[in-house]
Amino acid sequence: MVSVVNDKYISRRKALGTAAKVALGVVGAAIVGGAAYMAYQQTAVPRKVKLEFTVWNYSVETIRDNIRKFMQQYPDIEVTLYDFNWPDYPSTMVQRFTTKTPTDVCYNGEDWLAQWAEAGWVVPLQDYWDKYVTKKKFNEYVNDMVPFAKESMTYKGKIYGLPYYSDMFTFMYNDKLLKDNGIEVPNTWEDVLDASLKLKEKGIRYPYVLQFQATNPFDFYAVFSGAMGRGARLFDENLNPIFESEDHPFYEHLQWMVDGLHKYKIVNPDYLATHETDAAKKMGAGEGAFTVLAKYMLAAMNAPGSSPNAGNFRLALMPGKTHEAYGFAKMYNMTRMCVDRGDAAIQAAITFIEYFGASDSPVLKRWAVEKGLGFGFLSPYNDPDIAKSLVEYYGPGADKSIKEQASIAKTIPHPVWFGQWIDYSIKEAIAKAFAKEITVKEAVERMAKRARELRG
Amino acid sequence: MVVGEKGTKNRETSPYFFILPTLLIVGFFTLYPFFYAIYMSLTKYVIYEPNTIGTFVGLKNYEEIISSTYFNEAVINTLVFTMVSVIVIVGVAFAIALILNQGLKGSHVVRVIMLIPWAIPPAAAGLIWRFMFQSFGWINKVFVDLGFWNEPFYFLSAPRSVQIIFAVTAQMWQQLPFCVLLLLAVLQIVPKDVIDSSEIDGAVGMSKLRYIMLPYLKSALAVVAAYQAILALTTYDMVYTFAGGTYGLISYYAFAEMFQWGNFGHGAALAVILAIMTLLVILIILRIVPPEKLYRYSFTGE
Repeated sequence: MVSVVNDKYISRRKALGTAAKVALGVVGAAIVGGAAYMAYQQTAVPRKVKLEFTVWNYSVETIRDNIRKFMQQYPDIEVTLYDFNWPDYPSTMVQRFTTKTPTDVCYNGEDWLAQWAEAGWVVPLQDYWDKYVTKKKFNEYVNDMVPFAKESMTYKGKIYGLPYYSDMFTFMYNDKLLKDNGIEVPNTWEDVLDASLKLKEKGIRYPYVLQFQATNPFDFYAVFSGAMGRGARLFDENLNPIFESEDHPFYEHLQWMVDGLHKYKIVNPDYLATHETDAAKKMGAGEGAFTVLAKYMLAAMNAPGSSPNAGNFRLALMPGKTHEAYGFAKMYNMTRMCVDRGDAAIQAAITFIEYFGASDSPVLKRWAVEKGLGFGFLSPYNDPDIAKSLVEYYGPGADKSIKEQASIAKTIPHPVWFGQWIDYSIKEAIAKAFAKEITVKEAVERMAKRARELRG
Repeated sequence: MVVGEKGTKNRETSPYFFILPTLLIVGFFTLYPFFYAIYMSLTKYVIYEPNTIGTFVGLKNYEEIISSTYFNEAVINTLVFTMVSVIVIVGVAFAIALILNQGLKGSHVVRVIMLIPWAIPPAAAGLIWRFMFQSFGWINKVFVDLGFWNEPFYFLSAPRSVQIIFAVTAQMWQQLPFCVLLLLAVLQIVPKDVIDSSEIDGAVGMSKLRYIMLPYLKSALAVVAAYQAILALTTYDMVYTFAGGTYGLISYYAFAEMFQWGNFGHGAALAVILAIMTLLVILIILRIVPPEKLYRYSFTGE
């Protein structure tokens, strides 16, 4: 290529050479300038420890406000929050961890703890806590934990976190509706059926409200907790499934649900489209009288002004022989990525987790008082503000009934394959049994077979 | 550019150098993941067994998923969804294209309005239709208010064999605009004098459609059917947001195996199986419409 500029010929070689020199000059200036800026950053600006914190999207504005207050108290720690859709949280975190996207502290749940721990993504907090500066020793917190919360956060004998939120799937009912119709609070599932049939005659089309979108573990527990009230367990100590016989409480409870849907028609047929918030709305609108949901939904249903029936809802012991309910804990975990960053990052993460998850944490108290969220420690029950909020959110006597239910609530073993077993069970077995595509017998056989496949 | 013997040689090879960067980028984002997925499907990759990650296991992943409790149903769901989608979408698109080809008043406006669903992401389309099919959704509201039925119908709790109809409805709503526009474009290049001659000779209605217009449309219909088949086979986002995984397609289980159940080897094997199924569909279509005809259609529409 030859071009003519002002009667001068410029060769291709010269043009390319000039362009290369200019490019080198620009790159060189960028490198020098960047290095100078970084040096300035290192010396002139005080160094902060940065933490990347991931959560699911419950009350994200409250979390942001809590973080803001934390950073005011600890100005040398900078926290960046990432929130993800609740049903997609575990799969999003798997992608995050496998691609090694920086994550220092994360929410975790009892359903996924075993997988994440085995994969080496999260670390036992108890192995690090006492080596760093904290307000209390780790055992002081552990000794104060509610038993099922502690068990939910334990894997292979080690405790992996402090509880963000701990709760139970509890039996809730519309107290005014029962009193107005002369119905006693049910003590067994047969009582629930009888009460529902009476209410059906009075015009309540589907007195038992079922949430079962079949998208996340809460759908499983909303059913399984009812079975626990009958005394159900799923696996023996060797993780062999034990629920296949027709007289097993879990089998009986699934059959109760199927009969409720198709034979007695006391359960809402749009359960697949019913999220827990939809269930609360149905209860609030007077469309239902009984349900089993995570306890914090009782607070939502009783929130003043939330519905015509706000304030009428109460918690009763889970119907059944043992009155047990499913208890669980969601927790704050520290990640392996954080540990690999060194002491400063570990100290920052532990300080952050203690601020958010300790038994006397301002965050714990705020969740309890403002949102009615459950907690995984015993001592907060003695806090007068929290005790008052329990009554406000859950009704008169709630502080006693909640404590009573919590004292007998249980969690269940969560082996490494449990999360995928639940996912399979709700989609391929329970949902199909509810739709009468298969019998309950076929459903439990599928679930048992899948458990044996996964267990190995 | 320097011209001459040396220049001639440069002219033959230099175009490849110009497209090389693009080829590298495209290859990195398409070929690399494809071959890596095949590699992953032949290895053990379970996130909660990190010490075994990368161990070569041959076809074991394929054996395990094929013998799993969900595989047969996933294949049936996928094939049924694909077949029903193709038949319904192509059929309805063809009918709408024929109507719009009449040049009726307002057809230009209809063509524009029809494009709106195509602009909506599939995941959003699934959510929209999920809300519409709810017991309190507008479909129930309209039918109850008009007196067609007394109480809401619980579409989303219907058996799987019925739910497929609703899932295909959502897919059709989203994909129809593209198919209609493609077929309409082809209809408009059918020679008018051929149609006029056939009408003079007495061809009307279905006979005109079958013997005069369809031969021109065969290639276009094959292209649309192939495109819809590939979309339906590989669709994940729309069906997931619509049915939440309760209507399990192979694509859903590939995702679930990897990101919900932590077994990337199984997920990759499912993805490879899906790719093979898609390839088979393409080969079948190419048997119906030979490549040279498809090539001619792509550039001339004939």
